[in-house]
Amino acid sequence: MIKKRSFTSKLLEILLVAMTLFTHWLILYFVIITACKNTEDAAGLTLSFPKEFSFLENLKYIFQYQHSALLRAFKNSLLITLISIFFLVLAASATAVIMQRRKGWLSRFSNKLIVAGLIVPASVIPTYWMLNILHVANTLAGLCLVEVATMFPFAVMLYKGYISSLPTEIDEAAVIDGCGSLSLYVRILFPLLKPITATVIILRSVLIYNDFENPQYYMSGSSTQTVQLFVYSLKSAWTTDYGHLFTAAIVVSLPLVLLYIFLNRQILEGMTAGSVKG
Amino acid sequence: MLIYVVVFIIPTFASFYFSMTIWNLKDATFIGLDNFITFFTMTNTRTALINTAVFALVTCLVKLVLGLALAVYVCSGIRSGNYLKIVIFFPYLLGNVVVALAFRALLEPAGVVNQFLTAMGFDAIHWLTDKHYALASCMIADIWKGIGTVTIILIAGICAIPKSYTEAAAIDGASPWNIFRKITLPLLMPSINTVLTLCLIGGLRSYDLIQALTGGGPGYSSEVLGTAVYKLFARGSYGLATAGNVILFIAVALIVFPVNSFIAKREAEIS
Repeated sequence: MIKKRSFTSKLLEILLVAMTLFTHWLILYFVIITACKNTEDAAGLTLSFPKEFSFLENLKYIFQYQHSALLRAFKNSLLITLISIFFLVLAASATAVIMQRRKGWLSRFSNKLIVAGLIVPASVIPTYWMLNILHVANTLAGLCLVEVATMFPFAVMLYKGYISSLPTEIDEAAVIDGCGSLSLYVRILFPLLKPITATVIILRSVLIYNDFENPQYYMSGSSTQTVQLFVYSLKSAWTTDYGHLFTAAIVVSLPLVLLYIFLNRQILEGMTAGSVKG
Repeated sequence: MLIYVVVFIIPTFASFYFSMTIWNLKDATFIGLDNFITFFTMTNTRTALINTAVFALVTCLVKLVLGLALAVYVCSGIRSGNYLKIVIFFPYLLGNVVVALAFRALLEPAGVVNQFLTAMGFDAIHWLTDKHYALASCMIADIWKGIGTVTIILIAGICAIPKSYTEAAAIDGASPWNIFRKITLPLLMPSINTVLTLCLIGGLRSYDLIQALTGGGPGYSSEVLGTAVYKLFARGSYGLATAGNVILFIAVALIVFPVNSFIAKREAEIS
C-alpha cells in the first residue's frame, strides 16, 4: 500500500493477535496444564497452575496402560502411514505420468473417474464387503488399501498438474538415447517430481495419521488399534479423567506438532499448492 | 489405479444396488426403495439429514466469511501476518479426536467457558448436553479446526493478484471497500470456489469430530448423516446404512455441482 498505515489498522492488528491468545494459546495452555495435574486436580477444569507437577506420572501411566497398548498403537499408526504413503506415491505418480503423457480414450476416461473421486464420498459398507472378498478386512493391509484409495485422486491431480509443466522434450531425448519406458520413469521423471512428492508426503501423512473414520470402520473387529482409536477408546473408558486423557492427547499429537514447528513453511506452501490445483 | 477401482469405484456402484436391499454381507434381498423411505421417515435419520444440511451450510459460511476477512487483512502487509498464519493453521495438525477432547473439557458444565461466563454474570450453558446447543458446539469446534485451511488458501489466492491492480484503483480514488468488492473479490473467485467446495463436502461428510464430541446426542439433537450411518453399521443394518451413504452421495453431487457451475459462470461474466 502506498499510504501509511492508519492508527485503526494497527489497533486491529493488536486486537487480532490478542484474540489468538484466547482462541488458540489459551486452549493449548489449558490442555498442557491439565495434563500436568493429577486426577482430582484436573477434574476442577480450572486454568490455575497444578498443585503438584505430575506430568511424568501421567506419562508413565499412559504408556503402561493395558500392557503398553499405546506403543502398539503407535507402531500400527506408523506402519499404516508409511506403507500407505509409499504405495500412494508410487501408484499416483506412475498413473499421473501415464495419463499426462498418453492421449487416448482410456486416459480421458480415467481422468473423469479420478475427478469424480475427488468429490464423491466413499461408500463405507460396500468397501467393507469388498475387503471381505479380498480377505483383508480388519487387517492392516486392508486399511492401507483403503487409505491409498481415498487419497489417490487428490495425489494424482497434484502430480498431473506438476507433470504438465515438465517439457516433453525430456522424455523424447531420453528415448532417443535408448531409455526404456520403465527406466524413463524411474531414472528421469521420478527424480524430477521430488518437490511435488514432498508435498504429497507431508499433506497426506498428516491426514492418514489423523484419520479416525476409516480405522474405526475397517478395523473395528480386530485388536489392532491406531493412536487415534486409542485416544477415542480412552475417552469412553475414563470419560472425565482429563489429566490422563490430555496426556495421551499430547503424546499422540506430538509427532505432527514437532513436524509443524520445524516445517511450517513447507507445510503451508504445500497446502496452497495442493488446494489451488485440486 | 487397480487399487482405486477395486476399493473405491466398484463399491460406489455396488452401493446403489445394496442400498435397495436387506443385506447381511452375504445375502441380499431386493426390496426396492423401502430403505430410502425408512431413512426419510425414521425420526433419528430425518433429524440427521436436517442437521447435516445445517451443519454444512453454517460451518461453510462462517469459515468463508471469517477466513476471507482474515486473509484480506493478513495480505494487507501487516507485521504479524506470518505469525497469524502459523497459529491459525495449527489445529489442522491435530486429530479430530484430540480436538474433540479439548473442546469437551472446555465446554463441560463446570468447564472453563462456563467459569468465564458465570464470572461475566451470564448463566452457565450446558453446551454439550443441552439439545439446543449440542450441534452449535460441534460447529464451533469444527470452525476452530477448519478455518486455518480456508484462510491459507484464500491468502494464496489474494497474494496471486498483482499488486498493481489494487494500487491503480487506489490512485484513481477507489475506497478500500470498493477495491475489495470490485477487484479482489472477482479475481478471488477461483479460490473461493475451491474453498466452498472443500468446506461443503467436508461439512456434509463430517463425522469423527461429532462422534467424539457428542456421539450424536443428547437424543438425536446433534446427529448427522455420518454418525447415523455408523450407528446403523454397528447395529448390522447394512442395507439401510448404505442407503444413508447413497443419500450422502446424491446430496454431495446435488450441492457441489450447481455451486461449482454457478461460481464458474460468475467468473466468466467478470473476466
